[in-house]
Order: sequence, then structure tokens, then C-alpha cells
Amino acid sequence: MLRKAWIMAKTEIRMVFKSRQVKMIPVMIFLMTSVFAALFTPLMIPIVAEVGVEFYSIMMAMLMGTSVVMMPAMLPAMIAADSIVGEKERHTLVPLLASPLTDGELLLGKLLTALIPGIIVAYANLVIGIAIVNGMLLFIAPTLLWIWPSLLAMVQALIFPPLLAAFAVCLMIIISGRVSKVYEAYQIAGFVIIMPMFLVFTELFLSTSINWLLLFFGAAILGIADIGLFQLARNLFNRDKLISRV
Amino acid sequence: MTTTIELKGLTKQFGEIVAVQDVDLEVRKGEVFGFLGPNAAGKSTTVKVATTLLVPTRGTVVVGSHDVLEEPESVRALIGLLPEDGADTHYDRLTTVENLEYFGRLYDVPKETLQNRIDELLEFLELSDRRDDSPGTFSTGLKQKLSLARALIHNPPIVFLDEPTSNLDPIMSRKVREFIQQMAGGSKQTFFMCTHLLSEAEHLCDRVGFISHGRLVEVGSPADLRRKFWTQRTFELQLATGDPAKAKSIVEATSLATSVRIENKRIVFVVEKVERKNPQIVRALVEAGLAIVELRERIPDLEDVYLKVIGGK
Repeated sequence: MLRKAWIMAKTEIRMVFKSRQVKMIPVMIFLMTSVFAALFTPLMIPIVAEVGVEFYSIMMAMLMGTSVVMMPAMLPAMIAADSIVGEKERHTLVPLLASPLTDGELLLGKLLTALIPGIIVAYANLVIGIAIVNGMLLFIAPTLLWIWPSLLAMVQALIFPPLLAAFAVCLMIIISGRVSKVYEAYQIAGFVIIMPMFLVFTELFLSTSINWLLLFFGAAILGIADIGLFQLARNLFNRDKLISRV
Repeated sequence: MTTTIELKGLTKQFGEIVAVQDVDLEVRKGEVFGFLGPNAAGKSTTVKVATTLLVPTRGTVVVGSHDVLEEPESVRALIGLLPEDGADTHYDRLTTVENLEYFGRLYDVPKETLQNRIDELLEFLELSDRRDDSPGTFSTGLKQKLSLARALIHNPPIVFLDEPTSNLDPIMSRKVREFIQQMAGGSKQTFFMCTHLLSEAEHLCDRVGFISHGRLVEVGSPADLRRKFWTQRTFELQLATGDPAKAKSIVEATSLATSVRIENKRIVFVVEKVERKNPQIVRALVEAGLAIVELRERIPDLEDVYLKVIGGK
């Protein structure tokens, strides 16, 4: 299943990044993370004496967490929104559906097309965030160096973006197969992107009590939800309805 | 000949609308089968069911000994499809070669064969000089050629073509027809093609089927259908001198022709039992002092058969 899905994903990723609009999304994400890091790192240093190093660390985890966990979900959600309805609108869906791809291969191909750029951008974004925060701390407050990310925050930033992106992508693939126009899918994608934002803000309130157990428990639930949602997408995928829907 | 496409009691409904109804049809291996009918007759829907894009409401469809419902992937591996509006079905962000490579890989064409196959198809379809261009820059005719190349990239044993020569110029249309004939020759490939061009079907197809309002109304070779629907024969006669109206009245007076009319100064008459009646008609005209330059039979073409079959339904 993976081989043909990979053929699809490789070709489609190449096509996706020929779009100037899509290329702009990672640039915007990197820019926002850079602004967040450059703004908040020095801004809060004067209050460290008042609130304590631990609270400063929590605040940095909250602010940078929003940037490195939430924002990378934007790109895969937007790519996935276009995945099926976009092909239909551009009339390229019929030859693809008539090829020997199974439903699973086709959906996995679409999932990888949206997920792989999302993961690459998420990790690049994390590296940018870490570099700017710690680069600035090295010069202005070396004692606070490596206060962010802690090992826990690092693991969180590595595990959650792919899991959140996979959730958003599976959801968007289902939606993309059920709407008639690309713009409808994009409108819904905007709403879907709010979900990881909600999760991150929930995490903000839990961040004082977040621990390894909670992290792995959350990751496991999200992982199971991803698999369940992919299976649902597979069950709902119906070539007849896709072709006959006006 | 082995049957390679078999439709049994095929019915396809979209809600209350019956697009295809109780179609029974067998297409033989190596045959070029033409599917003819007016707009919205059910031609494209039949192709979509046979290519696993649509699910039949009732009946069975077997393509290359695989049932479309039970083994859709096996069916898809065997077929090539040039879909309806095929010219618009390319990825504009890929080049001509990349479009073909993509589908070649999806169809498991070995890497070393794929490049040769692409070169061969592009050469034949006169697209070699546009191999690195995006189909987005192509005219409709060029896009149609690329669609044809994509349908044939994996050298499929069964090819479904929905209006293959639409948008092509007459020279390329002829080349494509010759190519199809060449491919189908020696039972190599089976072609199932929908077309509006009756002359194309006449020259290309071993057999044709007429579909109207979702029902298959006639199947047979163009020659068989002509014989079936033309028991009477039509002749046209041209005079060297003399009044065509006078000639018409002479032919009418013999009471040998079923009908007589004048078309472009020619007398057109329909007769049965030609061997006995035609010499008598000619003799009557000559005896009346009329000089005949030409007498020839008007052979009905597939268009006449089509109009008779579909027009009557």
C-alpha cells in the first residue's frame, strides 16, 4: 500500500509547492515564530526577578508552544482541503480514480501529501524557535539559556505537531470528499485549524501540571484518534458518490 | 473469440433517473466496439460503470474476467481510459512527460519500459517537441492527444475511449483511427469507444451498439445493420439530356418503384427485386428517348442506419 501512496505523494508534493500561495504559508509560519521568539524572550526578562525563573520558563513554554505546535497544522490542513474536491474541480480526479489505486492507497497518498510538508515545516519551525530564543538568551541572559525547551517541551513539540496535523488532514480529506467546491473546503479548513489552537490553549492552562504521563496519555489518545479517523475516511470514501455528485 | 467485456442486465439509476436500463452486451477480445447514441443516452454512464467509477444499481459487469464490484482493482489494472472531456484532465503543474510518468508508475510500468513507451507515444502523437511543456499551455487538440497517450501508457489489453477524436484535426483523427486499428489487429487490444462520429464508427468498428434512453436498441456490424434495416435499395439516375420531371413521371408510370423523387436534377428511386425491375425501368426511360449517363446504387451508411434506429425509438 505504501509504495503507490508514496508515488502519489512525491508527485503531488512537487505540484503543491509549485503554488506561490502554498509556498507563502511556511514563510508566514517561520516569520510568526521568529517574531514571537524575538519579542517575548527579551520582553519578559525584566520580570524574572519578580515572577521567578520557573514561571518565566512556563510562560516561554506557553508562548513558544503555541507557535511551534499550533501553527504548523495550518499547512497540512490547507493542502488536505484541496486534496479531493480540488482534483474534482480541476477534472483530474477521474483518471486517478480509474487507475489501479485502492481506496487505502489513494487516501494514504493524500494523507502523506499533506502531512510530510507539514512535519518538515513543523520541525524547521521548532529549530528556528529554539535558535532565536536561545541565541538571544546567550547574549542577554546566559543564566536562562536552555530554559526553553525543557526536555518535556521538546518531546511535546516533536510528537504533537505530526499527530495534530494527521488529525486535521484526515478530517479535511473526509470533508474534501464531501463538498462540491474548493472554497467550501477552505472555509471549513479555517474552522479545523482552530481545533489545535483550542488544544494548545487547553494545554496552556494545564501546563503547570503537565507531566510525562499526561503527555504520553494525550499523544496515545491523539494517535488512536488519527488511526480511527483515517479508517473512517476509508469507509466513507465512495467513488460512485464522488463521480455522481454535482 | 473470447468475451472480454460482458454486461448482463446492467441498470444504473441516479435517484429516480434511470441512465442505463437492462443492458446486455458482450464485447469480444481484439474487437473495436463502437457505442453510439444521442446525448444523455447512457453511453458515458456505461463506460463509467465498466471502468469501476460508478457502481451498477442492478446487473453484473465483467471486464477481463473480473467482476467490477468484486475485483475493482484488477479491472482497473487491465484498462486504459480516455474519459469524457479527457482534454481537461491533466495536471498543469507537471510537464507532458511528468504527467505520463506519474500514471505509468501508478500502473506499475517498469522504469526502463516507461521511458521508451513515453517516447514512442509522444513520437506517434506528434507531441515530442512539447514533452517539457505544461499541458496548461496546450490547445484542446494537444491536450486530447496527451489524454490518449495517458490511456495507453501501460499498454492495457482493454481500452475505453469516450469520444477519442473529438477536438482533433482531420489528419490526426485519421492517424488515431489507424493507430487503434493497428492496436486492435491480431486481437492485441480491445477498444470500447463512444463516439458521435458515425463515419468514424463505420470505418473503425467491427461492431457497433446503438443506445437510446438508456436501452441498448441494436448491436451488430455496420454491414449487418445496413442489411437488416435496408431491405429496399435506393438508386440514383442522371440524365445526359431531357427533363428530370419527365423521367420521374415515366418511372412512376412503370409502377415498379416504391418511391420516386428528384434530388439535384437526379432521379432517386427505391425498388425491391432489383434484378427484375431495374432493367424494365431503364428500358422505359430509353424508349422514351432519354439518355442515361449514370445509374448507381446509393449505399446507406451508418448514419442512415442510426437515424432509422434512433429516430424510430
